[in-house]
This record gives sequence, structure tokens and C-alpha cells, in this order.
Amino acid sequence: MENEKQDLSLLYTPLILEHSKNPRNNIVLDSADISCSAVNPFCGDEISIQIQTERDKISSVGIESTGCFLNIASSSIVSQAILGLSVPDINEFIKQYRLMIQRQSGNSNDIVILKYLEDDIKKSLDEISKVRDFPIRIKCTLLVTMALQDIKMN
Amino acid sequence: MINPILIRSDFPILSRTVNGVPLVYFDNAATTQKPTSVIDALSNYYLTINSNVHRGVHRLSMEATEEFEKARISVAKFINAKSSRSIVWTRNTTESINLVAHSWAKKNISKGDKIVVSQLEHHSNLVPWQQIAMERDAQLVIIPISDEGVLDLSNIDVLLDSSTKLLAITHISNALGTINPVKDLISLARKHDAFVLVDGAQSAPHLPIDVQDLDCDFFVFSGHKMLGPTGIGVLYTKEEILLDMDPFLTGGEMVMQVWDQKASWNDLPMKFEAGTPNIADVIAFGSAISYLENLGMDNVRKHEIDLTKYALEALSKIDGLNLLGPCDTNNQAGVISFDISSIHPHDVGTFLDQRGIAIRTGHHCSMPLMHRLNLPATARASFYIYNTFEEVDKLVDSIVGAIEFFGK
Repeated sequence: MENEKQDLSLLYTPLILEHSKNPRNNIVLDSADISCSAVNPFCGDEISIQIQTERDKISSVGIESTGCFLNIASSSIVSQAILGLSVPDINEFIKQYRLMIQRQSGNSNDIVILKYLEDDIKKSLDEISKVRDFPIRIKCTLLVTMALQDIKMN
Repeated sequence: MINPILIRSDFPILSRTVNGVPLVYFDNAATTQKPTSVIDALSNYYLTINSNVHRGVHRLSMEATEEFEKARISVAKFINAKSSRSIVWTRNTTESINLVAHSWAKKNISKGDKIVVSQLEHHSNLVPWQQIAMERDAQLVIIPISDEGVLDLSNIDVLLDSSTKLLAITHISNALGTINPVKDLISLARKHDAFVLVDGAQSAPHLPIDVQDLDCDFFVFSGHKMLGPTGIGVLYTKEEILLDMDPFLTGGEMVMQVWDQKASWNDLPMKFEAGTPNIADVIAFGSAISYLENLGMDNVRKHEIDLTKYALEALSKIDGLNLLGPCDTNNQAGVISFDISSIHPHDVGTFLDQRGIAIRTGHHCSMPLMHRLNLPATARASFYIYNTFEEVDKLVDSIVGAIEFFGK
């Protein structure tokens, strides 16, 4: 019954809190090729994503997310990570992102679809994956993937 | 007088730890903990008298039926119903309301009639009426609230008028703790010959209830929010209304006689209880009612007023914390909702959980209320008979800790 006490500062790191207070790509694009959104009906957190492509590669992302620190931080990190990916690769990214969070000792190396990762994105992915130690909050970080799996071409 | 220290020894779960520290359970509006007497009643049924009710001639069935019906009489007495024939067992408050919507409203609500609810309703006392309004082409009218979460009755004569067929209103808001002036509203509804359903899910566990004094037509509540097991709800209906209602679910137990092509209905209240009922949980719920009656509901209310006053005073001193609801124990139950502008309630909830404190965070199944308050969610602490002032101190200290941790 008793689970080990988890150290909150391993999850809410300065970098994760910084993402949630200043989310990246928190913009509305003038035009978008793809848009998608998701709502968590249990908590009311919302996310909407716009994607613009150039020659089938994601060239810009605009994300608006509301709710808890973890939803906002996760969507901020994902918005950076998927830049440059091809649209068909989004599904594989979703799979790998979820796997990273759900498997024991997962980390940014699990996201093999991203061939090159800048250090700060790599660090952000490593840190958000610590949410696995707080199972009830995993769904907060996965809302962004719920939106992405529902992409519609405009 | 309630002595929570003594009471706590009746609740084994309260001595466990969470994350290495003693559990502080402040999620009582969601469900309460269960005393040993209730847990024993549940297991004793299976250990000693397990059998089906109302049908066997053997000893076990007779004993089980007697215990089962004794619980119905206890509940009737607890809310001062005239007769236990008025008490129908359901699964929970939601099912009780759906029963009224299905068996009463479909027959009695017509095109153009008004169904009046309030901005404070839990989804369970809103969505069924949205459905009925759509189906019957009726009008769903919502009594507005002030920013403090108190009903705004300035326009009530227009909202609740002679075209009103039903007033369906919560007695106490689960999200804010507001106690509504239901008795005044019922008198007003009576003037217009409207029927009244009172959602007592948050009041029956915390206040003395007298359905005859209230003069409501329907009163609904759940066992698990008042020391009882999950899976048991109550629908009280005035007997003359219940007599005229159509069945909800049909099949076994609810019939008098069945022929090839038709059937006739059983007496009240069995007409509304199709199938084998939740016997063990009903019996255990009867034991929960006895526990509360031994304490006295006036004492329960008094203890919650003391805790709530104490908590409101301490929380109001925290910089950056916004208290929601009336903040006045004259019209607020032991429910305190708050918002910390710099931290989402879920993050507050996770922080408090690390310190063993269980609170509820979210929209509390009251999304329209959250929209009205312009908040996505709130954090909510709700008290019961076993909570102590020391636990409130821990809550206050930990909230201060959360604000420091996440940074202003």
C-alpha cells in the first residue's frame, strides 16, 4: 500500500517550471496546414495546436494550452521537438514519447525518430519523463499527444 | 460535542500513512471514510446471513430481509419521512435523479414548461434536466449566482413563475459549500404549484434533514458520502407522487403479477427496485446511519462550523490564495474551495499529496459553475467528523510550502 515518497523537485525542475511559465511556440499562426486539439474532460485542461509545413516537413508550430504546469510544459517541449519532423512521422513520435514516459528509466534516447536533438530539448525530455513516478499525473503530460493523434489537414 | 480524536479510533484507514507521513483526509465531499461498525456490518452479512431478500421462506432470507428493511426504516427516520414506503434504494444520487427524470418528468413535463435549476448544480442535477428539456421541448432556466457563489434571487419572481413545473436545486454546493435557502425556494415554488427536487448529496451527511418540514417532493442523496459503502443511493418521494409514477427499470422484484403479455407492478417502494438489490451495502448503510445518529447531526454540523471558521481564517491570511464561495459559515458547509493564481490546482494537489494531504482538485463535476467563476478548476478541502484543527494547520502550512516551492 505504502509507496515510497517521491521528491517533487525531480519532476518540477527549474527547467520544467520555466517551460510552464514561458511556454515555447505559444503563438497563433496566421495560417496553418494542420490543426488539432484535445480536452481532458476530467480536469478541463485544453490544448490546441497549429502546424505549418514546408515540403512536408513541420516548419512552424503554434500551441495554446491551458491547465496545469505539466500539461503546459509537456506541450511546450513537444512543440520544440517536432519541428522539422515530417507529418507522417508524427504518429511514430507520439508512440515513442508515450513509451519514454511510461517505461521504467525511459529518457530522450527513446525518441529515435528525432535524429538530432539540441541539448536543451534533450534535457527537457529527460526531465518531463520523470512524471512516471507520479502515475496520476501522466495523463497531464500526454494530452498533447492526444491532440496530435487527431490531426486534420486544413 | 464531537471529539474527533475519539472518533478517529473507529476509522482504521485514518491511521495509515501516505508518502511516509500520516494521512490527512480532506476529500470528504467526494466520499467519506468508513467506521469499523460499517465494515463489520458489510462482512457480517456475508459471513452470517447472506441470501436473497423478499422471496425465500428459509431462515437466512428472513433475517436478511429483516435487516434490509430495518435500514430503510432507519433512513426514513433519519430524514423524518412519514413512511419508509417513500424510500427507494438506488445506486447513488445520480441514479435517484435519473429515476425522477425518467419516471416522473417524462409524464409531467410538457412543451413550454419551465424546469428551474441553479448555477451551482453538480452535473448530476443538470444533465438529466437538459435531456428532459430537449425531449419535452421544455425550457431549462438557471438561477444565477453572485461572484461569491451565492444564489442571486433578485429576479427569482421572473425565473420561477407559474409556468414552472419543477425546481431541481442543490441543498449545498459540492464545489463551493454554499448552503442554499431551499426552504424559502420551496415555499415560493409551492405558490406556483411547481414540484421540487432537492439534491441532498452534500447536505444529508452534514446537516439535520427534515423532509416534511422542507416540504420537498423529492430528496436524493448517496450513502458513501455519509460513512456508508459505495453503491447505495436514496430517493425519497412523497408517497402520493410515488404512487402515480411509472416504473424505472422493469423485471424481477418490481412486479406483482406477470402474464404472457403484460405485468402488474409491486407495491411501493419495490415497484422501483427491479432485480436483486444491493443487500449488503444497504445493511451496512443502515449501520452508518446509526453511527451518525449516535453522534447527533447538530453536533456534526457544529464541528464542521468550528473547523471551517478556523480554516477560513487561516487561509484568508495566505498571500496569493483566493478563497471562493461565501466564506461565512452561516451559509457555508465544511467545504472550502480555493484558487492560487500562480499554481494550477492539480499541481497544488500533487504537492499536498506528497505531504499526505488528500484534497480534491478539478471542476468538481460542475463545469458550468467553473465557467461562471472564470476558472478552469479549483482546489477543494472538505471536512468531516474525524478531522482535527491540527490537520487544518498542516493544510495551511503545506499550501504556504507549495506557493514557495512553485515560486510566486
